[in-house]
Amino acid sequence: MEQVRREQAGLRAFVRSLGLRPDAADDVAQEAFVVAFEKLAVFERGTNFGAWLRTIARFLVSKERRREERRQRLIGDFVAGALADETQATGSADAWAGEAPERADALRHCLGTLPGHSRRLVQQRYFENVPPAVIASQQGRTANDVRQALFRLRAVLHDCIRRRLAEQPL
Amino acid sequence: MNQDPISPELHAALARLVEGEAEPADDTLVATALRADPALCAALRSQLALDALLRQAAEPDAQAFAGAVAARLPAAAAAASQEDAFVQRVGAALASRRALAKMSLWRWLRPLAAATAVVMLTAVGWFRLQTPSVVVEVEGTSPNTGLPIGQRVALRHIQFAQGTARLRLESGVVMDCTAPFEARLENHARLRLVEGRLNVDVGERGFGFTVVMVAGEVVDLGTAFGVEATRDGGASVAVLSGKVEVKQSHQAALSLVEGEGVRFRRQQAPQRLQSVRLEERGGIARLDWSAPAGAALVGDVMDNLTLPGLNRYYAIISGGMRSGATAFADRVPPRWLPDPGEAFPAELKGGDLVQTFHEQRQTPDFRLRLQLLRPAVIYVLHDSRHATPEWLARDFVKTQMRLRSGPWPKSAPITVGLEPLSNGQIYVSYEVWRCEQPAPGALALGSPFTHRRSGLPSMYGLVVKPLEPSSVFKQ
Repeated sequence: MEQVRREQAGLRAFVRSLGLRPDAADDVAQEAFVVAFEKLAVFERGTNFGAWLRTIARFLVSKERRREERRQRLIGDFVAGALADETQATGSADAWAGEAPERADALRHCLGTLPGHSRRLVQQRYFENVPPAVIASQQGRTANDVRQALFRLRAVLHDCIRRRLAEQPL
Repeated sequence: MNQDPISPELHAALARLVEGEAEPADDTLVATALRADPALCAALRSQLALDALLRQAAEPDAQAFAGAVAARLPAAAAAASQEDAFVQRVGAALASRRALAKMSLWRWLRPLAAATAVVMLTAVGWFRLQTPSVVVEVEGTSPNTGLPIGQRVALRHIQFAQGTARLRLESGVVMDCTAPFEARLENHARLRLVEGRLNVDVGERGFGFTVVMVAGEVVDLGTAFGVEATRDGGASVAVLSGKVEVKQSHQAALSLVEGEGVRFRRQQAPQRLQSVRLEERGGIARLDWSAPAGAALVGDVMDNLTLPGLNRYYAIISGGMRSGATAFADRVPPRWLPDPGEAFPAELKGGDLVQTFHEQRQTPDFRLRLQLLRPAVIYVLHDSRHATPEWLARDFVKTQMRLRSGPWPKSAPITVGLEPLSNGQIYVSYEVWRCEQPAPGALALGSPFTHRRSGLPSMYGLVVKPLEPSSVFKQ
């Protein structure tokens, strides 16, 4: 299971990026590990295990979209379809693949560089699990304002992480 | 992304989608924009991936995730050798990449890594100091859950296909989880239960602990309770002590107290839970999910009461009949006891005790139905001061066994005419009637009330034991 512990963070982020809700993303990521275990015989030693896992996960997500009762696990039926088609065409979702520990480290670094009010917002939303509407009422803003502020913050963090990883060799 | 900035409407819709709060039109609006702009796809994927990474950073749960994977692997524990092969092969594939990276770059990275570590520790420390992490102590578990027994772990997603686990939160809340179980700990006061059965004892500091299910929420108001959620959206809750509140969308909140339970579904009004199976350990009652459904003797206990607001359940206590067992579901004491100087009847000892409602002793048209899952012997403990009801004389045979219930307070109406013992305590005597049911099925019982004499009888007690094979053969 050590391998699962090492790979899980990156795979969960990857699956989520394909348009699944958080809980469903974890479920599919687990299933991908289970399928990988069951199909171990066809894994080609020396090839990229992470890429193989992501291929399995992509297949499982496409299955989610085909099953009517599972569509509620997507952030949006059409959105997930658009993401899947684009990913299929370009393979660009793999940009979020790779070594999860380095990315997690970069995320921690980037969180530390945020201005105080932005850190407070991330703190409330993710570390205290406060819904945007509640944050909005506390701050006298609208829920849309808060959601969009979080959207911009994630974009800032994404750019920071990308720069951080680019600065590191490999 | 296209050079044109995205519209405020699209931006708002994207933000809602990532937060899981999309409005009906958002899906189409965003999907159309994504198909027109591949860069927007990349931006949305980054948003979603960042969201996942932030959630993991807030509540690291790699151990639980790995445990959940292990639980889903068919016979994974038994196939340890296969797992070793899996780890070795995967490890070899990854090790080659890492080794290559380390060889060429480590000498350059060392000073940079030291500086990075200082920055990282500062950032991590800042967040950890302010983060109420969901640390769970795994107090006990069967080996097949993948949870590390005796360890404190930061958990978020909990899932196992078989077994049980006892988890203690830092708030003092103790959860006994029974498989198949899947849940997400949102924080130390909130559990999102996807599927599974759970006994919760919130302790003194866990007031307000909430179990969220598809069907609705159960909010503790200082109590112990059992709750079950099924994959198809069904839920049920039974209060063991104290009080809970059941909250559903489009329904007024429903308060339940000790001895009450309901089953409910999303957008459906709660319905009374007629019976629950309990076990008592160390004087503490918990819902009993240890026995497979097929192994139970009494499947259900149902009555014909339709009183508004009635949510009381019949408690079936597996093997619970013994000297000192609580006699009724709606009052403590009295307890079942042998007559003075007598031993507790061996024939009754260890039987499944059905705790009835003493309050229903005066309802003439009262009907009770036992759903028996296996051949059984049913014992009715009838107030010996009162006439035998017709249904009891017809379907049951009177035995030589006798019991008493008590102590009763002097103010209790059923003690009228009874002399207290020398210690001032008052007891009611019961005769024991017996009936064999050689095949599974329903057994109907009536009211203890006969109209034949003044005064109210005690409600009867019920004990059920398996019918021995030899007895079945004799039939």
